[in-house]
Amino acid sequence: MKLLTSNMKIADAIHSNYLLIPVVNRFGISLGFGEETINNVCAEHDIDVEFFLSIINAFSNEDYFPEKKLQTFNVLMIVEYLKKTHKYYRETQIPVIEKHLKSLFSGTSRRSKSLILVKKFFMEYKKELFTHLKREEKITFPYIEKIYKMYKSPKKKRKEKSGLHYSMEIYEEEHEEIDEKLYDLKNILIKYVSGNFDQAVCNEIIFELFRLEKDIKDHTRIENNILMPLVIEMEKSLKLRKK
Amino acid sequence: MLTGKNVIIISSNQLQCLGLKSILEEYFYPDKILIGTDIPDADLSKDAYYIFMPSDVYLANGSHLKITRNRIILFTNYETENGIQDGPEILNITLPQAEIIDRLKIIFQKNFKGKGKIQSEMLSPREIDVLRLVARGYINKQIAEKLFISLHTVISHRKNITRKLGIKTVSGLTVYALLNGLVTSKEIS
Repeated sequence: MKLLTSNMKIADAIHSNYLLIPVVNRFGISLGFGEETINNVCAEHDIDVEFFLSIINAFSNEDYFPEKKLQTFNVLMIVEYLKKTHKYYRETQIPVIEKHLKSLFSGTSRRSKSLILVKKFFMEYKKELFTHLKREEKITFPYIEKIYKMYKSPKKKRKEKSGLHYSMEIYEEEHEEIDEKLYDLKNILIKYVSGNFDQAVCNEIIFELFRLEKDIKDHTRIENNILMPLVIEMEKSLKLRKK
Repeated sequence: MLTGKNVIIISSNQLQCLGLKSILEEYFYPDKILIGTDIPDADLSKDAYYIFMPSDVYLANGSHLKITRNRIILFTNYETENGIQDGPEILNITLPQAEIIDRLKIIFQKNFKGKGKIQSEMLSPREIDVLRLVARGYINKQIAEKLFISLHTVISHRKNITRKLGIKTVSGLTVYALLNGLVTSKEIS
């Protein structure tokens, strides 16, 4: 895939990968781009263009990851972006799937047992995903913001103790479990659910699940490969300073 | 489970027919359900299931049916052990609905497996045993004890199950087991 650059029209970037639309939305940029280049749009919205490019390139191309480059970014910027993706899952993506599920149910006169099972499984997944997101927002992100503040103000005496409040391993395990559940859900829908219900709606649900999976993968990649090393780096330097 | 297959219900009792028809449609999704009072002349499909309700028509004329006996299901009014080897499947018509569904599932499942060879990715009977226990919430160690096999064997069965089905999580496996009638929702809760 072609690398997206700052002098490219943002509309062309979307043409090259329409899945970027919700990603771009997270930066507060919405449709109606006209002939604006990425550079212009970013300036208009007060967005760091390098950061924006890294995010959309990373999203479009799994192999692209300018770890070096991204690591120079402001940690708060990354956290802000991650928060917006959380919001997107919670307020847009998951509700869309729920809506489709609902219409799948209303389309069948009788209650199909397999649909009930799928719905239950989805609700379980949703609950786990939301708990995970909430935990990141309540514990992880505030902690990172705090560390960053301490890191940026070297002269100020720090009374708080540093140290990760959660185990990185648990964190990763949780990601994995959530990813696996999503995969299973997709797989069950594709392989084992049949019946007299609206096939088109069912396809729609599967498409959305694939999309969610890709988005979450990207999200996890940013967290694990960019954010966490940055946090660990900051922690290390804080510890050194203490001595 | 019966996608692409036909079911022929032979009965003189219209209400019973419709009841069974709606159960089949809801849980098994057959292609077509034909209802008649006698065995149809035309050989509709060798793959079809013949359900007699009650069994008297079968007992009178059934021997003409040139299909494997396990595609024949008889609903009877009496309690019976499913004793006859290679004989028709026998179900008691007075069973509660949930049990009838479970029994039908087992019967249809059997034939699906019987066709076997093409589906090399089908679970082995032992893997099904393990899967059932996983779905019922047992952990590996308990499964080993229950089935009198080593923990190592349980783990290797579970690996194979996941490889064959492509399902990794316990909740996913539970849904699979429920969908395929390997466990009932009662057993899980």
